Amino acid sequence: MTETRPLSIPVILGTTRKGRNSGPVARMIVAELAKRPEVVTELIDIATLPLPTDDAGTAIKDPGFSAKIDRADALVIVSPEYNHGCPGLLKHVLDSCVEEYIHKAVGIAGVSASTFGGARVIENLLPVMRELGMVTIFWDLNFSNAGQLFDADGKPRDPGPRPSTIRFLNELIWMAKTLRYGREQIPLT
Amino acid sequence: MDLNKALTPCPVCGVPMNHHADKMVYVEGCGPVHEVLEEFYRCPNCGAAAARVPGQGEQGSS
Repeated sequence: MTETRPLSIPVILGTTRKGRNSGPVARMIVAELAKRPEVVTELIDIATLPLPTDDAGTAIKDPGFSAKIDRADALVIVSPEYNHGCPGLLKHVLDSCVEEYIHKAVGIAGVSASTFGGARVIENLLPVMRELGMVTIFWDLNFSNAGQLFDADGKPRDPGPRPSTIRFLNELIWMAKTLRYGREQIPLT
Repeated sequence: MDLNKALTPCPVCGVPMNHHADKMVYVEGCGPVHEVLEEFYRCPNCGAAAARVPGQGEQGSS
């Protein structure tokens, strides 16, 4: 199979909190994806999306966000852990789309100030991903002690990338290619 | 049942689309929120997406 279209793998920054530690994490992942010649990527910062709170679900769908997710072959969701769960606004954004997610790959990066690295928020999000129709990969990224990982300019204190980041992206790209082939070539019946 | 025989060509490039998923989705309007079965399609040529609820016509996107 000759494939000329690059894979589209946007990274969703899943918090609007000022001073968020997830921002440098998301930008680091975008930078690593951008190194892959077969991938096009971009940062989708939910803080820049119009997010009405007087309604929910597909009624608040933003056409720009919808188009990016529809074009995507895979997603990376960077989510902090707030009280053992994901930010409410991240869920609010995710719930605004439906068909855009079907049979797409997703990898999750958890971020927390504690030593657990967002393990709980990742476990929280897995059934949500499943219900949205996405396929989760078996690699996660966990960023612990998030406030200490990056300097004041958002540069990683530990020059990377970490081996886990490489493995995570390798698996995500593999799943993205596989599912694109499935969406386009393998009939359901 | 070969649903592909009933496919609308891709709204972008005209190639017959691949029916790759059926999923129950929640819809609003016309009464309480209810579930319907929605069919999902992708174009093997350009990657465009389409979806339809059988009997209600098609929604395409790029």
